Amino acid sequence: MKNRESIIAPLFGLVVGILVSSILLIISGSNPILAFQGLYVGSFGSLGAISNTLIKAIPLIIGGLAVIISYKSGIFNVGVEGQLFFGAMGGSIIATMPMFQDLPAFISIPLSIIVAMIFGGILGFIPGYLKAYRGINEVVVTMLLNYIIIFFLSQQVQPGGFLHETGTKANQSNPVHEAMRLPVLFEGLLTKVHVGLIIALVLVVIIWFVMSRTAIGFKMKAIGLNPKAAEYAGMDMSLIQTKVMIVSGAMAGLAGAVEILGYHYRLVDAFALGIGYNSIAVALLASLNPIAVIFSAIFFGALQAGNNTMQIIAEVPESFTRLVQGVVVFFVIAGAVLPKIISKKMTIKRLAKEAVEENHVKEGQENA
Amino acid sequence: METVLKVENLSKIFPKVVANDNISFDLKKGEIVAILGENGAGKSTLMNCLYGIYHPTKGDIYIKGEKVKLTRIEDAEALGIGMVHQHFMLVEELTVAENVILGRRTGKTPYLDLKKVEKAVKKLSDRYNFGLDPKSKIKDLSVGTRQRVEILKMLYRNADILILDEATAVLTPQETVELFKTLKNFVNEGKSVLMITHKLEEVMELADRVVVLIDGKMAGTVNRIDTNPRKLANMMVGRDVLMDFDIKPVFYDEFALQVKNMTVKDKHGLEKIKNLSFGIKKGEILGVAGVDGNGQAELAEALTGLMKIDSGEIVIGEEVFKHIKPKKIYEKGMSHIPQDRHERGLVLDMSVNENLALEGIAHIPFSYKGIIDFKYLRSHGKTMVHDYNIKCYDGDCPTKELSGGNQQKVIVAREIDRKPEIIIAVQPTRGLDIGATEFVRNKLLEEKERGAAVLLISTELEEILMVSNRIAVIHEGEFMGIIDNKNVDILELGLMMTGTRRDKDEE
Repeated sequence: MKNRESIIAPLFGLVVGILVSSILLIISGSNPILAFQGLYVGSFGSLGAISNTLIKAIPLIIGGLAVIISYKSGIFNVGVEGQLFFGAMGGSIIATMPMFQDLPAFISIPLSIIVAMIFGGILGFIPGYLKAYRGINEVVVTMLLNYIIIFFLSQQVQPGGFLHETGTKANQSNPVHEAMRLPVLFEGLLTKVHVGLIIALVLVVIIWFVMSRTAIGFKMKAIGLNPKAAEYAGMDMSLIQTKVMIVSGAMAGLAGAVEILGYHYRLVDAFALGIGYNSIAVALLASLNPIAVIFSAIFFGALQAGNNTMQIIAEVPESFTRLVQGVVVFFVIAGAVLPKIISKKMTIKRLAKEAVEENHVKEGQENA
Repeated sequence: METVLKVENLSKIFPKVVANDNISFDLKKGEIVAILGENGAGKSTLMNCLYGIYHPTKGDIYIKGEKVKLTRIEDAEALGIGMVHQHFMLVEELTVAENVILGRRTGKTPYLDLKKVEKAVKKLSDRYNFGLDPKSKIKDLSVGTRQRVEILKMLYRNADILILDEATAVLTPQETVELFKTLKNFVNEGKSVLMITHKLEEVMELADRVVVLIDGKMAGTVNRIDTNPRKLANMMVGRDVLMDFDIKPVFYDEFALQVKNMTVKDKHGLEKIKNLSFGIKKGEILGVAGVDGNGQAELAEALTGLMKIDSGEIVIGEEVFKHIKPKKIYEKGMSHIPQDRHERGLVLDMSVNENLALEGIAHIPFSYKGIIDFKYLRSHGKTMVHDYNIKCYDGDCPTKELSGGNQQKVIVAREIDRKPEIIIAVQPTRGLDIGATEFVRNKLLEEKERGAAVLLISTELEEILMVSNRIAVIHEGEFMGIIDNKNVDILELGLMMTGTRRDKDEE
């Protein structure tokens, strides 16, 4: 029942989203069939296209998971964006600063990732603590921290910043040390899909396991569903929520490091703009199901990967892919309501039927 | 005598649920008829049909001999039917007179002639000895007085058939006595009263005739003088009911729970519990009676760690606590049946099995090294569902799909099955039908006999009298006295509930 719901809702949203986007395309004078064809070719049409889609999906999977654990625990981490940037910055300290370039890769890569996670975790801790122990709205705090961090990072890769690549005017850091680049999977196939994909999939399994099989996952869900009952049942809500925000931030930071080490190979100003916010959409599209995050992240990855081809074939502007994303997410969330109404009606009907049957049984007993 | 209201073969069928099945009864001039039934027996549906809120599927309603079709509340009111709801329909910020005229016209539309209304209200109030000041604001009035405003509102609208829905639920014994006097006055004047209730004593005291409903059907109509509470209870439930519980004396001498000079302040800094001290022995039930809102909720929350204690201490066994956390409560073998099962007691979106494990999930055998043992979770759920007679199709069923009584059983099962040493039960039978109520009270008594100390906080005096060894009466955060539950004078309890200290006149 629940599983069916979480599939129906996104599919419904997807179909309606595509229809509405088509109408918008027609209004703006483009051919929607060409446009979606372009989108398909650019995202799944070739090995390179699929590789591109997967690369875009990697940070979205990890970011989506970070969103899921916080939302499930009743604390809304809107700060994946900032935590990802901050993590990338932390990771880049190890990965791009000359003083670390002589470390062997088996130390430097994990070290870079761990530093990234610590950076992200710290950024998650701040709103988590303020929410859990001081009652300050986490949405506001994480949103504002996003701006602070993005501009702080921007400053550090500009001339004068401590991560700035000396001798250039570009707003970027030194390149990642050659040895520290994440290995590429399927080397012979000329794709650029990196080990980050494995990391993301392992995380999916871990988060799925924690949420559905462990006592701490149980507590997180209880807190998210009814904090007052959870508190009454002896769960330390403040502590758990704070910890969840640290982990959520750390995962976002990890996503940032993976982007730098596996894809961008240097820290560039605003390099991951929007990934954090898209992660929220990814998580919602997946109905907060860790396994489904893989598919919704690939869908979002495909929208980004297919963007260029779509622009060329259908001559639509780049902003259009964003519009499609927006329309789809809107209808997915709207769609999430529809199956709920249906299932509620079904429940009422079933209960009513049972009540009637029970009465019949009773009558039968009385007659006998 | 003239029949003012007659219901003939009335049925109300909701999609696939028969709420009222072929109900027939009549109400004569100057008569009080009680509609008696458990929760879910169809009393409210029936009243809503009479008040024009629901439309009967089948059957007829006659008022003063004429067949009527009530499609709106206004229709019912125009025919002289007035309803006093259990939850008052009053605007607290407005005066008595303003509430009486709310939604009505005073004559010269669009002008409001409040003076005229005030005069009329005063006159009515004097006539029935209500002692109401038309100009006082509702928020300054006591619950009993507010109810009189509700009744007066109906009288102002010329109601001569009054329907009262569980009218005594919120009243102190004194206020109940006053209400009954008023109702007797009415019928002497030739008005008629239809009272919905599930309380047998009220029926026995007030009604001329009793219509008993069971599962939406008529169980029968009896004259009060031909019946007794036990017979009525049997009719209402359809089987023998345990009316008198056997309260065994306390066999232990050691205190399981002591509270010493506890003061609790709410977030506005108001003292909700004032320097309270008491103790409960093992194997004892201490009932805390009182009118709702006199610190009962705060007492329970402070004892269970949900509210901060400002001064004083709690002694559990021999361990002294200045402040206690809910987690500690669980570890110390203290159970808590909360007042509001939806807010505190259950996670409605989780399954029955999961709710049964809500507190124990991080411990063996529910989980081992943090990994949940689903096999145990399910088998435990199955046992509980069976032992506590929880009606659900499966332990994996979301708790929100259960009826209120069964939800309460989930809580009771969880809290009692782990053999607690102390049980804090707040309104444990609120909203439950007779069967479930009997079940919960029996469980509390069983636990007491096993040696648990029980603090039973309830606004239902009947419940407290039925199971407690001793009774404490709480008023504005203080105990007005603690008395043994032997030959208790109800009126004295009532006086204590309204703030008369018992220990003072003993001094």
